[in-house]
Amino acid sequence: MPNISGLLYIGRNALVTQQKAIDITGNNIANVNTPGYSRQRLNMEQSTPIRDQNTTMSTGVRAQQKVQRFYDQFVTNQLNSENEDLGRWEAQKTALEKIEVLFDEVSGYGLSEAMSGYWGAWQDLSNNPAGHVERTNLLSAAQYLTSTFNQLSTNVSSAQSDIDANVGNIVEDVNRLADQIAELNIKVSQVEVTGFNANDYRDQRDALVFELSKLMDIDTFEDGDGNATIMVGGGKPLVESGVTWDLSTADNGGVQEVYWEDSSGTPQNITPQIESGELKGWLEARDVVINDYMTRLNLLAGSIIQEVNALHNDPGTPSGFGLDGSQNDFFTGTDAGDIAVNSAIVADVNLIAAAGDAAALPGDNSVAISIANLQSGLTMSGGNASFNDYYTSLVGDVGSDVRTANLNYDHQTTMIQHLQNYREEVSGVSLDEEMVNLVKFQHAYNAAAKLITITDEMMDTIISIAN
Amino acid sequence: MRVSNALMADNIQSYLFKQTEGLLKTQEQIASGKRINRLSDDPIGIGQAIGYRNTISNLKQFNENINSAQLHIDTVEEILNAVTELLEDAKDIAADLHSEMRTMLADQVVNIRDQVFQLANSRNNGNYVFAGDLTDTQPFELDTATGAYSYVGDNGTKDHIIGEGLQVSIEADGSQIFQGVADVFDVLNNLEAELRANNATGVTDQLPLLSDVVEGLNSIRAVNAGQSNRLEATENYNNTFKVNISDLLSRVEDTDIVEAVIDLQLQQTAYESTLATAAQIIRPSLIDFLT
Repeated sequence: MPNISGLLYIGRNALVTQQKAIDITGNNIANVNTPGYSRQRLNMEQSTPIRDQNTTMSTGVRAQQKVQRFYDQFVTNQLNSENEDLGRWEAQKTALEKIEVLFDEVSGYGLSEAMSGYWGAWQDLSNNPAGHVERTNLLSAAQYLTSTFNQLSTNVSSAQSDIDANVGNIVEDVNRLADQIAELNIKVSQVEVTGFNANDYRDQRDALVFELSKLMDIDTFEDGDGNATIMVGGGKPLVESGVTWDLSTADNGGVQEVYWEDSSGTPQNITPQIESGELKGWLEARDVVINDYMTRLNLLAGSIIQEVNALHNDPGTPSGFGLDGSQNDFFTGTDAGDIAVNSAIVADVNLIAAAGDAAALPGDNSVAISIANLQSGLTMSGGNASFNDYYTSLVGDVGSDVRTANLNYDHQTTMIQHLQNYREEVSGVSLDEEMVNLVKFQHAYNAAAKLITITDEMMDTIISIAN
Repeated sequence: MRVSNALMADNIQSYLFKQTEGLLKTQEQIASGKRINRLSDDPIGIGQAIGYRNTISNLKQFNENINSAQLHIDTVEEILNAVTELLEDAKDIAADLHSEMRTMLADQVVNIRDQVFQLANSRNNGNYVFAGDLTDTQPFELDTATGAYSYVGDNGTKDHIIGEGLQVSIEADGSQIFQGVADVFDVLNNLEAELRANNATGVTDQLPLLSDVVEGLNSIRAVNAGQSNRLEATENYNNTFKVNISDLLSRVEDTDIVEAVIDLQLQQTAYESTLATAAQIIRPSLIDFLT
């Protein structure tokens, strides 16, 4: 037998359920621009029917306890792993672009110009080996060359120490994110144990994991209680339910390296196990790429010092005599950082050796010619490249490294964009859709209200019959 | 496909960023006049540019060396020309056509000898021209007691780099030039002595010796003239080469303005149409149509 007050319950439940749906629609609309937000939907189902004697009676609608969150775990994982590479290339791009501007070859005032000025000054001296003006010019060309080397070397190594500071900052960020993720783990499991979905906490946690993945490569999975477990550096736990392990940095061989502290607080070096993310980008730029530039710059400066000195002051088969007949090294130092013109020559340009024979002073220019010819001599790369070839290949490599980093960065940005689009397709809020839903739920709400009015009227009718 | 509002906004934003980036890059190329503004713009191109710039500065330097060598050869030529003229005068005297004037002619020979001595000790830019490598030493010395002339320079040559691995060596050994085939000072000394001794055969005997000296000078001058031609040819070649290389350099690193302006125009059109369509897409929503 149908029950008239049951009708009121149906109306009431319908009102409450539609209102809740409007609530959730409102929440979706409000979060249309919230990054990481996944749209939610109230799933409705029929209430449990009542068996009454021989018939079954429906009892209207009810909302499921768990609010559905539109979400694609696969896209999220992919986004995280692509974000690691984005971070890596972004860091390398930033680091290398700083180096790129140091090699000022585009305007034609870089080391290449300094070198060719230096060799040219030797040729000038060969034209007039006794000339004081030529000697002074050669000295200033040589000083320009050494100061260009020194400056380049200082700037490149200060770029390396800037990276050290960045590594420290990133490690601090990783620790902060790990703490926040652990807190959210606790909140998610607290909510979900009661049978609800912790949609908002999960969104927040996913956003943090996404942020973390840009900093370093992580392995992440969810345990049965909804806790996100995060591993770093080849299987070392960073977050496990509500517990975190700290990362730290410490000096190792003059550079800051990354350490993971086990539960007893003993640090273990995980630098070689970091394979992606901004950390990897900075570390790779500092330890591999920029280090290689530095080595090659030092080798170039070292070879110039060695080759010039060997001709300028050869005590074996005495050669290279200053105007006063003395023999002196032209350069002192061993690499780009400390290359300098011999202070004795700075004090007296007559010590510059143009002559190869003490008996043929001052007109002999054989040493000046030999040194000037070093410019085109194949002295580098095992006798296959001139100084300039060697330097040009260094500059070319800097350029193509920056280019590679840029291309990879652009590629990763596009990848992320595509994946974000996929994610948005599933999780993003469409205002049009929400408006349609809003109208839909409003109509249902109005109709349910009407149902109650009519039931009320029906009851009135019944009561009036009784009267 | 579901299209969310954030997706639409993000995509429009990223397209606009890409297009403004392209516009900025083209604008930079036009404004700087350079196609390569940082190493990564064209790593291979920058390598070529450095090579070309280096070649150009080398060629400039080689031409400076050539000028310096040319100047030296010109100086030597002027001196040797003057010496030759003096010796031609001496040859006239040695022909002994005016036997009655032998004493006067002997004075003239002394004069010639002094001038040749002076010329052989010429300096260019403060350096002795015919002293070999000992450019700060006067090459010929006169022992006033004996009247003998001696060479105190060495056998050095004046060397110049005129190209990669190329050198010219200009003869600077005074003893080779003035005392090679026959010693010019000895011949002139003898000529003076024979004139004063009024010895007709002795005077004419000096004639072939003087010719030998002039011959020797001429052969040196011929070698110098050959080198001078070589220098000039090298300089011309270097200049042409420099123009070609400058052209290549410009092609590698300079902006092709026409191309860049067309690119800019295309990019601008694309940018403006994106702006226009974006404005059309973002604005309306269902809300506008619900009453």
